[in-house]
Amino acid sequence: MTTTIKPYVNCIRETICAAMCLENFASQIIERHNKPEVETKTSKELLLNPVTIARNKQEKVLIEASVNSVRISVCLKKADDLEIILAKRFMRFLTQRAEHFLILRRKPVQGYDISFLVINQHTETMFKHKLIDFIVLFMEEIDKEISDMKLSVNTRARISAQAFLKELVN
Amino acid sequence: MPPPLYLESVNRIVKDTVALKLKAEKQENIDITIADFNQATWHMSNQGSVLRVSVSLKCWSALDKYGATEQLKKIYGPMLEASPETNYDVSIAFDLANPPDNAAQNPEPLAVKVGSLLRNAMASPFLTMFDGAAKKCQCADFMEINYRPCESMYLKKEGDRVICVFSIAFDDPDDEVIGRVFIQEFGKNVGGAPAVDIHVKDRLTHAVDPPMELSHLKGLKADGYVSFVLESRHTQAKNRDQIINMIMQFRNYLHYHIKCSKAYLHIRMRNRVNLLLQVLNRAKQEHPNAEKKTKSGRTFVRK
Repeated sequence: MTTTIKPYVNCIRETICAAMCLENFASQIIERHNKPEVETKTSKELLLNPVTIARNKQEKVLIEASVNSVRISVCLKKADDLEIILAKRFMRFLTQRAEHFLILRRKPVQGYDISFLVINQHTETMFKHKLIDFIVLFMEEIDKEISDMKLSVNTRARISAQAFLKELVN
Repeated sequence: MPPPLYLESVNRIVKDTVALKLKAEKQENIDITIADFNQATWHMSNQGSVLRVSVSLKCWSALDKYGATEQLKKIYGPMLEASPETNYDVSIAFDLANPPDNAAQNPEPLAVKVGSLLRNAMASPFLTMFDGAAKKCQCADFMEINYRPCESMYLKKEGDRVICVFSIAFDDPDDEVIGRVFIQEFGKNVGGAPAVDIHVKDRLTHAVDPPMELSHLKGLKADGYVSFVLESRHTQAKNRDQIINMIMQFRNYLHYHIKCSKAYLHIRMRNRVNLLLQVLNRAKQEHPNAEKKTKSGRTFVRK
């Protein structure tokens, strides 16, 4: 049963919108330091409840928020061996370019395929609604891209095999 | 220009160099070493007017055991040298000033013939086996050719059929998954073509059973096996040289297309990254710290 991705994606959009209320907050433990609290997790009062939105056992999104940062981790759909390696390669490709993407985390959170880290500086320099648009678009595009890549591999396999065997016809 | 579908069996560098030298007015001395598939190397050299072309193959001893030298003598005749160049396995040589096969007028066929030296050497067990199956000559029932370090080609005669088995190994675990997709497509039947039998690794046990043609061999290690069953209509076909060309290069063809596939995926990922970055750039504000004023003129400073 494949439900459309729309309700899943809308739910994620609303949740991120609610979680992304960030303001500058200097570190309480170390003087003159400013760290994303969702990463350090030292002071419990600065963290909000983490929310997991799951579409099925495999696909889910974890949203952890705090006073000055939000971490969004995505687990992608991987139906078979080929999709697993395509997803792995694609995510590695993206995380290697994390400095261009600004909000991408170089290593995904344990148990997930890719993670975003949005801090107050990002919401100050970028439009919040556009940022959320980007994350939501990312999720929609990734699924489509992996399906397309799998299709291209299968097509090439079929064409090259048929071409080879045709040459062997007497 | 999209990458080509088939691999060439004639070495283009050798063919072009020979054609060039046959047409040249003044002969310059050359000394070229060329690498080819399956860790084979070519060496072309001339001093004065005699051009020598040599090939070194990892599996030459196996090929020679199954009659490669006789087959090459049939094709190259007096050009084939009795003892090959040092460090090489087989050599042919001819006089550029007085070339055989009417090459002075028409250099192309001789150039193609010289460039096919490697192909002819690798094809010799096939020709021997095909003629043996048709009872035209005596030949061994089972041939094993270890043409690559971890992979081998096996030829088995069964009545008038010849079964050719390839053991395939993949270096990279990702390659293995993509390779499995490709190998499974080869199992799909095409009318008139030889029947193909596939053995790939079981998803759960991660082990692969070799086909029964290889059941008498011990210590086999591979990621998959592909068998081609060539009937007499294939082994005695008019286009059997083309059939041999394709089957001989099966493993190279497979890996070539796997690599093309990976390159294409890379291009797609790069395009996708660019598109995503464009969307992200739309999110950036032009003047993030511009001074904002309310209608009545009061300013707002962000701390």
